[in-house]
Amino acid sequence: MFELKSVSKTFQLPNKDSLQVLQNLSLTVNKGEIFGLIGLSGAGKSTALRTFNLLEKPDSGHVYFQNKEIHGGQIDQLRLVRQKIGMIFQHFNLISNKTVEENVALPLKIAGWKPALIQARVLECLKLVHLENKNHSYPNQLSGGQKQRVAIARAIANHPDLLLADEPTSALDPITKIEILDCLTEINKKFGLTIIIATHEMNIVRRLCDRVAILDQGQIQEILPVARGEIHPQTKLGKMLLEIT
Amino acid sequence: MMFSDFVYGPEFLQATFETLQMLSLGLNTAFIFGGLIGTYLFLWRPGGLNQNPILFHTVGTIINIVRSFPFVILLISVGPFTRLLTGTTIGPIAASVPLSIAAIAYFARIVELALNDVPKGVIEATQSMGASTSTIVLDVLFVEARSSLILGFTAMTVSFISYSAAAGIVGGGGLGDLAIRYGYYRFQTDVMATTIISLIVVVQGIQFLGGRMAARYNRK
Repeated sequence: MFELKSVSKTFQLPNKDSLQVLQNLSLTVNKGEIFGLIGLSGAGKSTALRTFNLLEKPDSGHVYFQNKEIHGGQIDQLRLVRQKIGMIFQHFNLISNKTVEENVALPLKIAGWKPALIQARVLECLKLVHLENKNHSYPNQLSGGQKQRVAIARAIANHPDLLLADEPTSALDPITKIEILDCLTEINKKFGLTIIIATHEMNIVRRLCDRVAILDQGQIQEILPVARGEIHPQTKLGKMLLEIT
Repeated sequence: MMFSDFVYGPEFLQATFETLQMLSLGLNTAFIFGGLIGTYLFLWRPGGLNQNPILFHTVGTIINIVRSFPFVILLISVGPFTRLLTGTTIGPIAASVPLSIAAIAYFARIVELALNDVPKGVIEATQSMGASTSTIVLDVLFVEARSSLILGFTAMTVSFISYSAAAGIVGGGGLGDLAIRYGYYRFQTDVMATTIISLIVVVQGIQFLGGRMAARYNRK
């Protein structure tokens, strides 16, 4: 289980104002499920997602990874935990001067894999995302969808227990979007990998998620099950999001 | 007769050698120490990977002070320090000391800016893999910034060829010094022309090489 417990976070804005992005938020994600965080811009979905691996350090509250609390201050522990949490981003964040193969190898190098084992694992991961023939390409030679698939291969390379997806399809066209979502579903089914995804589209939630939390102003409005693509929000915001996205 | 006798041949070679000597000493020192200081400035900046406002502002101010000095003044004012290091204040080795000091400050800023230009998302992705700060710097930042680092180093090399001419004031020698002493003070236009044309060729060559290398290592 992966859990946020009473997490609060305030950002200091440059004009000295402050903005509370998470307000006493608690959330439990079960092993093996695909969990959606949905909301409008500024609702705190991305911040909540980034709290799971402490890329965002909360001002107060607790974060649990596999039922064990993790702390921002304990750098060595945090690094080991992060090696078991994959992450993908809206803008892919691949290293442009490294080949596809070198990109996927990086987390393995960081996790201290033996060099002899790295190449085989890299090719295995690229095969999973159907890019095994692109291993020597550079990111700028790939399409957006291919870049995101490299990012997925990189994120799952070290056999993570959790995959965080921060608006992974927002920069992609509708067809490529489906391709990426199906790729995530496939990985979830195959390995039972837990996925948490931040998005502002109900479509994505309906296609991908087992459960979803609707966020507004740093708080959870409601948590809903998604059954066979059907979802029945009770709140006004949830109904609106369902209607327009 | 345009190139009066061949008398200046040996002097010309000597001056070329001195220029190369000053440059290689100055630039190598800058590469190592300027590179280190620039990297730490990047790490120490507010919101940086290892932020430390006190060190950031202190070191930043020292660099600004060094960079504010007109080079000739810096050359003279570090005289005692030069003597301490090299035992003399005359000659190309001695002139390399103020050149190195100026070049360290210059290159530190170039490195800091080049690292700062690497997209934050890439750094964040590497952090999310559980990388240590040294891995982020060595395996990602330097790789992503290498083209701008090469271009910055090239620009610095070109500036320091011209700085090295000022080193003639303390007997540093070099091509610039030759142009001033023979070409300017003794009205030997041929010497002046030869040195300046050689410098133009050298600068063009360096810029060409730097540009080629930067392009070769850039996959953006």
